[in-house]
Amino acid sequence: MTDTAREEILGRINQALGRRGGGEYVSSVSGTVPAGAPAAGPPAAGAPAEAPHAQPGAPAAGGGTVDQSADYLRTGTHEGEDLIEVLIDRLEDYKANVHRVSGDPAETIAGLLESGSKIVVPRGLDDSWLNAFTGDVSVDAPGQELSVPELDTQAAVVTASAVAIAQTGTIVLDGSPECGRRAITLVPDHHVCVVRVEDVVDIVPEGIARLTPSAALTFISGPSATSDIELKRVEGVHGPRTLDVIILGSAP
Amino acid sequence: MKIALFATCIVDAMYPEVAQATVTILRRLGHEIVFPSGQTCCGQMHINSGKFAQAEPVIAAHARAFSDTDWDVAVAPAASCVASLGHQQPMVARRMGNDALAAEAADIAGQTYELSQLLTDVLGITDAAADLGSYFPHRVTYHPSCHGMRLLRLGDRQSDLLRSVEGIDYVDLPLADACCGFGGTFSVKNPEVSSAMLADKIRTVHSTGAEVCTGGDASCLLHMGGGLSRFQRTGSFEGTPDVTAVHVRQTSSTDVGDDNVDHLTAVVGADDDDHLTPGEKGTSPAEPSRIQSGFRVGQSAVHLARILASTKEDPLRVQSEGATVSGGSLR
Amino acid sequence: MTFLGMPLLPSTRRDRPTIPGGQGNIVEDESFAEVSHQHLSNQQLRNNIGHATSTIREKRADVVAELDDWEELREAGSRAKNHVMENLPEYLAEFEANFTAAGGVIHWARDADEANAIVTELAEANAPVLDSGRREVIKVKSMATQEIGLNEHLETQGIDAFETDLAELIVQLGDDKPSHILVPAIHRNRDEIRDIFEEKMPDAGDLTNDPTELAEAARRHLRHKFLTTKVAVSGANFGIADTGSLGVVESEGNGRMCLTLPETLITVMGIEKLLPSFDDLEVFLQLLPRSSTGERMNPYTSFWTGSTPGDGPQNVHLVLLDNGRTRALADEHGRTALNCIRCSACMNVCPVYERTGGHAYGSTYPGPIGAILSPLMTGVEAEENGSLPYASSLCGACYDVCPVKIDIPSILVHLRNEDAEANHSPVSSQLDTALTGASWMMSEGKRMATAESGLPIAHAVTGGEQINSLPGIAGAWTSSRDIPALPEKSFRQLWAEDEARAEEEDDES
Repeated sequence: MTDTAREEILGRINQALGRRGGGEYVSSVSGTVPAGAPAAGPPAAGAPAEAPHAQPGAPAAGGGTVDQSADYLRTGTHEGEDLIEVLIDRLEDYKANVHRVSGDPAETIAGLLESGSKIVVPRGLDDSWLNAFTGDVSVDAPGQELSVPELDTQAAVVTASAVAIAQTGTIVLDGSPECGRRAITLVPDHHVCVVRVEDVVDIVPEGIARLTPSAALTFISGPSATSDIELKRVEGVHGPRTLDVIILGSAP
Repeated sequence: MKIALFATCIVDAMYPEVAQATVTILRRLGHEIVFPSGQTCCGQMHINSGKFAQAEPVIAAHARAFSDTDWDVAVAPAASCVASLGHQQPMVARRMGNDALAAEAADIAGQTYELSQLLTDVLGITDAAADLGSYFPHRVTYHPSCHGMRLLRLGDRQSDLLRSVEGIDYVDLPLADACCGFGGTFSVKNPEVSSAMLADKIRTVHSTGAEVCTGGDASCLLHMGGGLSRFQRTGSFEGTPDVTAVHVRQTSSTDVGDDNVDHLTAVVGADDDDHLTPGEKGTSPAEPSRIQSGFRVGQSAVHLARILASTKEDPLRVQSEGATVSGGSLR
Repeated sequence: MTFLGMPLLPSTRRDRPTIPGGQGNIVEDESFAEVSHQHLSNQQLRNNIGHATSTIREKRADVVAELDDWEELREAGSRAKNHVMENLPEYLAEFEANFTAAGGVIHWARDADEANAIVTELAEANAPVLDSGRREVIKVKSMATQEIGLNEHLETQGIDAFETDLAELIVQLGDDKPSHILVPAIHRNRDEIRDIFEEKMPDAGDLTNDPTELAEAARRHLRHKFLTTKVAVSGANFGIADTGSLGVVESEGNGRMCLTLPETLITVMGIEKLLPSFDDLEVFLQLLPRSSTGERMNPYTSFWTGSTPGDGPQNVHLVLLDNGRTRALADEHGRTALNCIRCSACMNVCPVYERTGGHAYGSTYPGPIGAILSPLMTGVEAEENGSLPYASSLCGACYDVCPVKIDIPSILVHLRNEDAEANHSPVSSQLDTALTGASWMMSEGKRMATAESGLPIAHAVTGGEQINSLPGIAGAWTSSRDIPALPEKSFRQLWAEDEARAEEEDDES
């Protein structure tokens, strides 16, 4: 039945596109996309002018044209300390707590955790980061995963991160040994996340370029939040309600 | 320059004085005006009603009229109709399988300007007082019509011209970019939604304390004038659901600057500190929707061409100076 | 004269009906004008919606203004989606191969019934029967499952589906329908929400109307479900063809809970949700959050590729849904509606939506995009949806904010034409008759001149007075607007008189 549905849907698409018996395969590489598809591209005449003003001087009264050569930014303009400042500004705007550490982060991490509490860390986390913490550390590792009820008893989770995007205040976890599997950064109510300055990029395209697509990815921008009641933003619903970000290292 | 006037159907039949004012302004600048006599309408009424087949002969009539006459540029005192020439006529002609008409329509549209576009972009007018002798010593607010804003991208062209009129007391219209609710046959097919939009627009016009509300589209002004007139006569929109403005609440009159008027101030995008919680004061369901008093007598709508044409020698009179206002429109 | 007689009708009209339209919650029960009448008189509803849309409108404008390359991003987004639609069979095949290679299982569903049956079968196979004798699944907010009426179907099959998004929870507990794509409970204020929670959450206790407290109540209410339920159902914002990845964009963490903790994950996604490549996310992860919630980035976005060993659900399924999408694709003038990424920016700027709310559109997809998407998916021949293309003043605000540049006003006009051609009512309405007459008159300048020569008579008949009331269809207009007195002469007449006078003067001189 499913196979039939598959063939039938693909047949409908071919019919909808005016193809008879399937079309040519087209490479999926983005960026080589031809502009202006026959059906979806702008009409030759009467297309809305996209500029805030029609071109001064000799505007075509009924329309204008889009500059097809213009393209979006793929790299940002911030670097060094400016870049870190943008990241901090955006993280704080969405209610993450930000801490700067240039050397050993152990004291800072311990200061954020309640001493004697239970925490979970991924197997690849730098051991020395927990040197100053006095409490119960569970290491989540393949074959030794904490169960969901066990995770629910952890006061906090400490992880590293793969990439941080300054412009949007976004931290990406990629399931690597020092980021851990997705559940450990979700169930505990407090997430302490270390961002190395060398992993900070300015804008979204730079961040996407650094990621491995096949990994299970989690983009985090501030703690859990909702605006479902009268558009009032409320931090902390189902995900961790506290997000502490430690920015580690000095800006180059 | 030889300028062809496209009067548009609504100006031709309902507001001939707007076309006359357009002619006056352009002649004052030394241009020759021609009026292609076969012209009727841009066809938008039929197009926006989905009647492409009925629109086609109307489009053809426009193309014929403007092809038969010799001119350098064409002008219309109507942003919506100029937009329709470029955005809709060629599309409809193509859809009807008439590519020759599509090309002809596109050609004419490419040389047809909305009045403020022609004045600023083609004729280089930046100061209406200096260049046109425009004089209008009254409080004026301005509604930028949707198609002027979003299809022609007129930007500040119209408002800049108005601000440069001698003696004008120009006041910004709150929530100016909101549609007045006309939408052609929309106001016939969905009259209640249209009325609700109109009511909110009327409240913002009222809040400015302006004597006249102006704009570049006679259709929108017909609609808004009709609403102003009805509110002034009856204090409500009869026969429609409760139409209390959502974001407009009653405040004191002091900040708007006109006495004896129970002003309304628009509150845009209430933020967290504003405590404009739905259901609170000012927007509560219990608040009466009818404005029983306080409307400034003679608040009316008038096309900006007539304000630009107004001079010290031959001024446009407002109602308080004895002018006739009919259906909310200044005659 | 370029009128060539009978025009050629576009051939697509004849082809299209062979592709079946969709079913489920995308068909109006009543016409837009009838439903909007009820909603316009609900002042509380209008207040709630007006407040919410204006707030989010401002937020969106602020974050969009932060980006210098917003227009270029829109253009790139539009281009990528157009490209996907043109090459949809190839991208679906590529996606299928990659998703399957990564351990996922794909199911194809022609319509709502088929999709519901597939999900039911998967839930029965993977969710245990509880003491109550029923099975349970947890859900992430999803337009596709809303569209096919999944929850209602599952309920009849002994399966309880728990919505976990706060707004969807409010809607579900209130026996209500979503009225907005992004914030489905936008029509409710905090007092109403408190009342619903107190009545429907036995464990909630006494609550105030403070949003923080209400969100906390939802957290407590759902926590146990998240930690124990074996099967989750989600939608997807993106399917990435070149990697076989799926993505969900959310705020609360309920999505992460559903996507991460259960053993089985069933995702329902429309076939149009594909992007060619993972790199395209660099565009869409900028367009979507800013257009949708007015944030630079939403709190959480998750991507998964089939099943990931040791991380998250190991039993991963995807239902690829048609349900009228191919029908929309067949409409060459309307197919860009399928580019929609469900951001809801068009709703928040629409003056009609602001006054009627989402329920007036009678479909899972409300607002401007719904006014085109619903009729495109069912076919405008589905008479129930014939009123939707008229539910707009064509002000154009929706097109300006659309992150993928869907020209909604033009498609509305196109669908009005489809509706007119479909000729639903054999008896001409007064408006139709008036338009037919106007077309005849406006086809010749002379006819218009003749008609206008009646102005002096009309002026005299109306006594030169403004018109405050008219019969028939014009009565709806005059219910809230006056009409100016007719002028004694048209401009055309005045111009001709001036010309004649000038000629006389020329002759005399």
